[in-house]
Amino acid sequence: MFHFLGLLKAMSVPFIYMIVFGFISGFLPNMDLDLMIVLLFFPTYILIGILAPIYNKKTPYFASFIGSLSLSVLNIFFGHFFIELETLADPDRVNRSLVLSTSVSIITTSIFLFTKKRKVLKNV
Amino acid sequence: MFKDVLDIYNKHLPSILVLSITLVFPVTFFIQLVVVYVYESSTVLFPSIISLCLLIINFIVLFSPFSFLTHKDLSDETVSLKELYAVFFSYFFYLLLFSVIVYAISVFGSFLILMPTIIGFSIIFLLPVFVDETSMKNHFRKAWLTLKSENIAVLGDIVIISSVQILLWTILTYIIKDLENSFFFFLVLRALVNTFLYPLFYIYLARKYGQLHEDRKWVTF
Repeated sequence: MFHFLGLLKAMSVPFIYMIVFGFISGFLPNMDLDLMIVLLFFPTYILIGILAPIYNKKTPYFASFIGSLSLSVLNIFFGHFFIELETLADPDRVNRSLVLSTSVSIITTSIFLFTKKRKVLKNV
Repeated sequence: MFKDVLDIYNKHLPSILVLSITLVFPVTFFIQLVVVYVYESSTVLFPSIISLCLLIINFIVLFSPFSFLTHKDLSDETVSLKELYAVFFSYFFYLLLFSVIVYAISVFGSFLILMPTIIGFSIIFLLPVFVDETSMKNHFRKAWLTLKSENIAVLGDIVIISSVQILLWTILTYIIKDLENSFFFFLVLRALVNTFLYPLFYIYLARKYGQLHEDRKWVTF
């Protein structure tokens, strides 16, 4: 069964990472924009791909999918309403960002679960 | 009551100091910076409402490790710093999300003669006391039951906590008024006040309202 409370607990560490890194990267003077986006994007969704199956043991893939989807939707809405970036202007770009984030977290979840299964088999 | 609070504060002084320097200080500093940004920016519509929400988030988000420490102290168990950090990092997003949602309800319901506002604010202050429940239904039910049994006392606590903070902050700004100060100095001063004051409030609230229900199951990593 899917636990909503476990999903919220899994989302807290990626959310803190997102805020802290976004705050620190504003102070770095001559940082490359692509490098900054990669450093912001991949650890967040890899972290939620690892943490979601820890709290939701029965439905790991669905939990990581919903977690990464809600994090990216929160990002898009924050950019649209608070900073007034035009994040909702191009539907193709929105689709691409949602697909990228969910696929990264689901692939991480599958790798995490496979390695966990292998470890259990080796110990037996 | 205050003697018990000071006892717990003295007994766990090193871990409380480490927690407040590593967690309370940076979070308060960051949120004060965001408040300044919200007032300066031209795109945000109602800066005062959003900054009050940010100050409430600052109070609510840091609650969980201190209430964990208080419950462990009341049942005579030892606490390690690692457990406290795990509690903070696992209950962060839950507290933030629900304080934002209840705050939005209480702000949009303010035209109903402020009744949803009062109920919403007292529920926001009671939410982190019962954060360790296993399901969300039980969590809100226990907060609602406590609100029904101690309705005026919760409002009195809110008034006491906010007025003590405002009083200390005013006194400190009057002391340093004539000196030449930069903008960051005020933020650091505000963060230092919160660093030494918030653990007392958290232990007081967890000691007062948390005793009504006994069985507790904290779920961390």
